[in-house]
Amino acid sequence: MLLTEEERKMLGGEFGPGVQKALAFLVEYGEAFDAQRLVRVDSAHILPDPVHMLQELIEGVEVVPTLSTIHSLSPLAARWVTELGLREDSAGPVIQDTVKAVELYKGLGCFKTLSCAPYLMGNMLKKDNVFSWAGSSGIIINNSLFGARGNRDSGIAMTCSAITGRTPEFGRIRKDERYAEVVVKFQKVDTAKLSEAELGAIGYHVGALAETRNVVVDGLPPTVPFEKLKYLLSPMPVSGAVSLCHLTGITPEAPSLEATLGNRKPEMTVSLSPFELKDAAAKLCRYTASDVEVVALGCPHLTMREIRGIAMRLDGKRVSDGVRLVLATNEGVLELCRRMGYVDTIEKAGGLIITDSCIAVFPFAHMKEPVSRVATNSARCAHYLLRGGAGEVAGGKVMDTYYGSTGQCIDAALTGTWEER
Amino acid sequence: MNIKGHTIKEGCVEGEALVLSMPFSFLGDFDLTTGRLNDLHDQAGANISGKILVFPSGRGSTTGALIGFYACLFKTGPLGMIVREAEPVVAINAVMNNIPMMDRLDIDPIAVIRTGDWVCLDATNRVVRVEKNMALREAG
Repeated sequence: MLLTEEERKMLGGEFGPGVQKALAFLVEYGEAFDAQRLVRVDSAHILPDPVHMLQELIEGVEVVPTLSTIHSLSPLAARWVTELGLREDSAGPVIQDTVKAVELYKGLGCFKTLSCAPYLMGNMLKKDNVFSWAGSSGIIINNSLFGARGNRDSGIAMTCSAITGRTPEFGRIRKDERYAEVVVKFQKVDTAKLSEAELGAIGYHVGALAETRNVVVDGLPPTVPFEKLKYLLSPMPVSGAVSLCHLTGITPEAPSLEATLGNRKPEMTVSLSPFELKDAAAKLCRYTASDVEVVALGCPHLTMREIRGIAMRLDGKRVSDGVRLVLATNEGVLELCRRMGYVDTIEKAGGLIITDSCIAVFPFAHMKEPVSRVATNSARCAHYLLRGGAGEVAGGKVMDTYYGSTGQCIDAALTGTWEER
Repeated sequence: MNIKGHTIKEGCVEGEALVLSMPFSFLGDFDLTTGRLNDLHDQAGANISGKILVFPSGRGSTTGALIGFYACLFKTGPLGMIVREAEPVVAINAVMNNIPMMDRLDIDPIAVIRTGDWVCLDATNRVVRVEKNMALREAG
């Protein structure tokens, strides 16, 4: 790999042992993908590293030169353990180390957003910015909706980028690797009427077919709100490894279908009829009894518009006895919704809004009262509920899972019963 | 049989192969407690611990590389990895957790390696040696 003089100095240890290790890692990572050089990063979003690895990487680093935010954590690392009905003693050494790591990052100037949607709090990218982010939903949103450039970074890569201000140039950072290879079209589907759950099911279905390839979805109306696109895009890197999905007439690099393809023929065309839509949603919905115990919304974290919508649905009503309604967002959105009175409405109805937490890896194995049936409007979340996350050692447990629109989920919270639609 | 390929993370390990027919995610596809692949996986019930894991590609959330770290800690992760073509999450997992890994072999590894074969993954010298499990071959 060709390094600049400054990068060679970093690698030679002139900027301290932490920078040296971080740059060496980025070179090794880049070489695995035949990257020719490193490029500057405009933004980093970090999933806290194992604390001993982090301590080595920040040796000699006082502040990160890159705008950096921190990803959402397990609910066990947040302050909601009691409210969620989790056992107070569930936070083991791994969680305690994560909390320590977060404080170290904060000391380096990384914003403690603790959110998978840091763009809602100001880690915003514009077209052609380069980013190194954790969180596959944020990555696909940055690449697709904002036209920024980044790969599916993970592990210590984001920390190394934050510290050095560099990332290896390969994959979606390169213009020639941003063309679509898989085309998605609709057949006899009124795309203006698709719910977030239908769009999520489409994303989930398409992701599995596309695997690592870029996608273009043709035929969505330009009026489709950001929130619905969030549910369409975020499952693609769960069933697959998609990091870029153009939307014809909507996203910055998609003025036309031909433009997204770079005038090449697509490798695959996926045609979606109402039949495929129903089949895709059914794969995310598997349960034995219709009485719901938990309704979990906020994967990815809820926006202010979504929380307002939920508050309006709950206004003057009451969540059914024995059902826990959990909404996940970040501190910025929570504060704004508190000011607007939405938090009060939701809490009066018996709902709980939590921050800093990922509900897709909810530690159900640590609940005081056992839970086995969960409803969600997120395909991403449903996927992990059905698989018990990383298993019981990480607090996960396989759940009976109900998947449907926000309205369907709120109705289930109010009645305690899941109704198929 | 010796197959040449491209190295993601150097190192040399040998062990029994476990071949997956679908792309793999370290988050959600196996139980970190035991190494067992979950019920919705095509190879449900198989155990990845200490295996040379052979699979088409990575997929899933970026938490995967962190789960890979804990899999090493709990000794429930694979010994080495061979994929058709690496994607970043699985490659970073290998690099940061020091798991020997190769991709882009001259022959499709999913087609020539069978679960139960003995595989020497020499990522330092960019070569994979496969010893067919004769018992499996005779059983068809």
